[in-house]
Amino acid sequence: MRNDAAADRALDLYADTVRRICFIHLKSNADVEDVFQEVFLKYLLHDNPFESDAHEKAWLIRVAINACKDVLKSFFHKNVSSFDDLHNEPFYFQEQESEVMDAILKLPEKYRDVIYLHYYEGYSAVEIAKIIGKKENTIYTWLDRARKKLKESLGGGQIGR
Amino acid sequence: MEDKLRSAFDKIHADNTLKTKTASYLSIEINKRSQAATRPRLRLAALCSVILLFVVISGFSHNLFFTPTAYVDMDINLSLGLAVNRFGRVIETYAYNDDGSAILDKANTRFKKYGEAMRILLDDVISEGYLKEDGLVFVSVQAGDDSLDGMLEWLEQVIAASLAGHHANVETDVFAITSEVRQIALEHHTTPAKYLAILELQTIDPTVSIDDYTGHGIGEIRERTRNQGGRHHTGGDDMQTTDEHGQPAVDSHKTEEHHNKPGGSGNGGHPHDNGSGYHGKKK
Repeated sequence: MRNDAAADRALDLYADTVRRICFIHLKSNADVEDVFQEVFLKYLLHDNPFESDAHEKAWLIRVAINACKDVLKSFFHKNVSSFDDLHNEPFYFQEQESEVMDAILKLPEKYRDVIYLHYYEGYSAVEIAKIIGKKENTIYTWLDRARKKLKESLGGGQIGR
Repeated sequence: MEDKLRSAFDKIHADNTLKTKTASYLSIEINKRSQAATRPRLRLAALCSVILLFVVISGFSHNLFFTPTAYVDMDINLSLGLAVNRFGRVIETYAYNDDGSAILDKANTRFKKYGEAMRILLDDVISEGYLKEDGLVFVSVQAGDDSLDGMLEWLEQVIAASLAGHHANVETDVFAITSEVRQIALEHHTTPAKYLAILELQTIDPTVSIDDYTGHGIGEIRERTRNQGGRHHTGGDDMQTTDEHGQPAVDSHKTEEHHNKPGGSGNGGHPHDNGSGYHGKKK
């Protein structure tokens, strides 16, 4: 098991990344907090060394995505409505950013992941395929469809490959 | 559009409250799990100690049970032996010849009390026809001083009971031997009783070699001793001398002479004196 120093380091380096993944999947603050803590706890309990920082980051992203999916699939989440709506939280988006984020959040979950990983984190389709355990062609398809949906929502702005 | 996407995601941060809460949660979990990891180690250490103790005690008990403290060797014409532990149980049997082997294969004496084992063996010996009505049963016992007398007495009773009735004329002798005698006998691949009988033959005929006679039955060796008397022996081929009734021929002079020795063969006692390790308990 990793120690406190490793926990602090991971939080410094990857807190925002994990938080963004939580943002695009979860609505409840409580769910975010649970997933956030669970991801970093799993990191502490993961004894095997990482080959590189990039490997470490990719591992955390995969764990975070899976943790979010687990929460969404859970019986409790499906059957209990939360009073706590995360997206009313005070992230200060400018008008355009808010419009973009709304469009992203309207996408199916799998498209949100590939959009975030490709356009924000800069991963290639091959890398995304490895991270989320899908075939490359699937990732290309999802990226293409996500781009088209965003284009429809946002009205014509070009999104490059 | 890519810039807008990036700009929108840039606005999302893990706030300090979430980080602080998570850091403190992780710290608590680390401590909890460290302690939990230590407890199993302590439990494991305790468990290991118990197992070790159990193994040591088991090993000690096993050693205690499976260490022979006495040996009972029997000669009829077949020869066999029992290794007996401190609890009087037979922990090993061994044969000195093929007939002995055949009897041991048939009889189940493992972990039985030595007296019961002797009774079973004698029953099988009789039922298989190894013991003639005028045969002999020689039993030597090597044991510690504290148990020797008891063993001799019990074996005498068991043998007498087994032979009572149909084998009343069988010559029997239950006697004690030292470990040194038994050791030398084993070096010659023979029983202590037979070894002592050959030694006695040697006193009459010094040319006799022990190994020449280990393949013969004890009855034959004793008969040879009786027949040789004072004569010098030159070989073992004429050992089967019998009288007109088919009984072993006895040199009355030598027999009388042996009667006067402790353990002399003439009265059915053991054919050797105390100086060779014979303790002199005889019937």
